[in-house]
Amino acid sequence: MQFATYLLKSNLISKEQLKKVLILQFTRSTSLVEVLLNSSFCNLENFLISLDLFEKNKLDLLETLETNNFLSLESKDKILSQYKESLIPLWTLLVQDEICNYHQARSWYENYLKELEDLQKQKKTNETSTIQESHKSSKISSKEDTHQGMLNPSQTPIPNIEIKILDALMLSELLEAFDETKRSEIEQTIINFSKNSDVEILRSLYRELHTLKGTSRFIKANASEYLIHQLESLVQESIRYFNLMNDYLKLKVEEDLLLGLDLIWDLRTDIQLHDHEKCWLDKNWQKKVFILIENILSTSGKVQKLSEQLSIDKIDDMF
Amino acid sequence: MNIFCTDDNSLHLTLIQQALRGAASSLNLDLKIIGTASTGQEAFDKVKQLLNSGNTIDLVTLDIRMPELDGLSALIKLKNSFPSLKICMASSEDDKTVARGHTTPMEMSLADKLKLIEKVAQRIISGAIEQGKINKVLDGCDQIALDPQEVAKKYGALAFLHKPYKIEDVQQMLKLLTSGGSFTVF
Repeated sequence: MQFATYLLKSNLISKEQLKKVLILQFTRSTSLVEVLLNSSFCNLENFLISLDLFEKNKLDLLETLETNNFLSLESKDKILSQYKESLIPLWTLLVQDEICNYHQARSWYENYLKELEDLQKQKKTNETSTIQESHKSSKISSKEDTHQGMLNPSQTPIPNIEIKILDALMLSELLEAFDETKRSEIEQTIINFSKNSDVEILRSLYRELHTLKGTSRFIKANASEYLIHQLESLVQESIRYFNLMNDYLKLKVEEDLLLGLDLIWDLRTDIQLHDHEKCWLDKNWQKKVFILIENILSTSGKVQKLSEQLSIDKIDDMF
Repeated sequence: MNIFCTDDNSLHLTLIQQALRGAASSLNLDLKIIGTASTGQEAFDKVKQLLNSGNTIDLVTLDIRMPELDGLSALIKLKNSFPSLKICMASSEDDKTVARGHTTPMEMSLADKLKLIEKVAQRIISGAIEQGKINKVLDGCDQIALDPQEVAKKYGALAFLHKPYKIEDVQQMLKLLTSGGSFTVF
């Protein structure tokens, strides 16, 4: 089942809305290779030659094609008008198109993932029963069943983090420093960042996260410290290349930061209720961390790529 | 021994005072917190006022990341006005943060980076703010992935203390203060 099917089946969006969004997704998410090949701008052979050259020199792919006369300048412009620089997930478009707000989209997407997982589990169970029917002597480990669909920690970039029962007196420091008001302040700052063009907003966000990280470290809330550090890193990179970031990239940063904030809030809620970062031990919850880290790595890579446009002269001008 | 502490986070401000008192007590030093501030600018104004009214200040602690005027900018301002003042920088920038800065693709030598920071330092000292330019030292460090410790060292800080504060580090820092010595990172 695809996410779109899920949205329709659950009556969360209308067919018309879905159609509109799918058209957007199609027009915005076509890969460069698809545009080049499907539109006959370039044949496969030339494309492969360019790809080799692209690996060897530091020109970008379109420049490589152009330098080798595989593309005219006119074609390049046409391609660029068709090719949008990156994939945009459906749920992001739902938000961008104001079909729903961020929280609704997140919640729909999470429900979808859960339903999808249940379906996969169901399918697996059916397969297992079939196997058991045909191979009655083989024993299926119940432990393996429990881990169906869960992340293998060795395949994720998430470190092993020691989760401790926190000192009741000290944890109040974090609960006070990161309350509902602070959360919504940070959320608003993140949203304002993508709408505004003021780097100071990011700098104040960095300070907020930095202070929260310090407090988390102080009370030994290790998972919170780890997650806040990831967000802080992304904000730091964004500050560095702020002037070069386009609206799309700002939106990606916003999206990652909002997801991160949600997860840190989950940890905070557990600290309040259970005196420790309980959800970190939940493999299903860890999947969200995995998605966040993957997203941050991807966004951060895009932001860092902007350094290629930042010459020493440009840096000098900033000072 | 009179010490002035600066941190925008009230918890961290309390913690450094506790650590200083604990360390001083174990070293049999008589320590008094002569004042506190929550921004670099507030620290500069209060320290100036205290010194001008005849008080002695043996040490100023400055958190690095603060609103208005960051700790590094405050260090430069204070050292320019009071060259013999001893200043200890405090920061929760950890090894990971510093490493993150060093892995950023930015082909500039340390000397080149410090030259850029010097431009900001001159503006800090003169009080000039230039539109479209970086006007705070820490913002400059963030921009060019420069380790704040290098700036602290260049502009005459006594020490660089990492958070969370360890009593033995604070003891060593106080010994450095009383015995004299070169810039040290704890």
